Amino acid sequence: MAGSRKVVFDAGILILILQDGVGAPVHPETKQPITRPKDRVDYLQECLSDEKSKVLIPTPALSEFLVNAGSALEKYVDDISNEASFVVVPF
Amino acid sequence: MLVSEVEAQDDPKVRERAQKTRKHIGPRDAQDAVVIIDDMLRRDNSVGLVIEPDGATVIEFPGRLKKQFEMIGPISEPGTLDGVPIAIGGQNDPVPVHLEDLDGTVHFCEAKREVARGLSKHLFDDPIRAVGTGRWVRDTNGIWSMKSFRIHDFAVLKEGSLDEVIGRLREAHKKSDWATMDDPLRELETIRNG
Repeated sequence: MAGSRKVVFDAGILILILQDGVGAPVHPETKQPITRPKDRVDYLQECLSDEKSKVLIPTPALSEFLVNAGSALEKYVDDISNEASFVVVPF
Repeated sequence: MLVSEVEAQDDPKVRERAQKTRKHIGPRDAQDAVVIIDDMLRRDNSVGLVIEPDGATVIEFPGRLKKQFEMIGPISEPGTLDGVPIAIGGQNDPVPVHLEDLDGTVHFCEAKREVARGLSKHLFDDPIRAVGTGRWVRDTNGIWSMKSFRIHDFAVLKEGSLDEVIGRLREAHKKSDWATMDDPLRELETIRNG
């Protein structure tokens, strides 16, 4: 049986994958906005889904993300904590 | 040089197996074989490659060029482990518990009888997330592996696909403060760096 890939999401990727039209993050080396960010995260999600990957979220990244969770907080925590496809991991 | 011929009808399967193994997501026996071959090459002071007929590298065996790591452990580390309980039993306390993960790997764990009794309700059926303490060692290839895991508590997991979960999170996200911001990525940068 094939092994499942594990990938780490930070708060930036979570925002990009959950929200449309948020602009583009800046490439750390070129300092230029990354092109076609929406296409990239859509393709990432497609690949991870096909490979039945697990998404790991380090606790500091989850903390950053939850700072502005607002009234979505409970739903975020419930889905991220109790789904087999997501795992919160220590930093 | 060892030259292997593959029947045309098997070419896609062999190619997929090799490519997945290169990305470390291949079948476990293939991944284990890569580690064993690489270790044999290292002991023989050699290196190796699997190449396509045109010379393109499929799998690389660094062999003697690979950095050797100092063995570490075992050390204890709190963590979680996902899997379906497939065996719970024994006369002792703690009780041996076997968890089979998504890859088919069986993890040998143990749990106090009270926890094991709760786990038994999910035997063979439900994936659970075990919370506990693992005992880890690092080998000379730098690979950490868990030798045992003491389960302190557990939660039953939902089995939604990644797409389903992200779909639900996207719905919830509309009610978040992020969704009201003009530039949430800039706000994230401000949280990080002021």
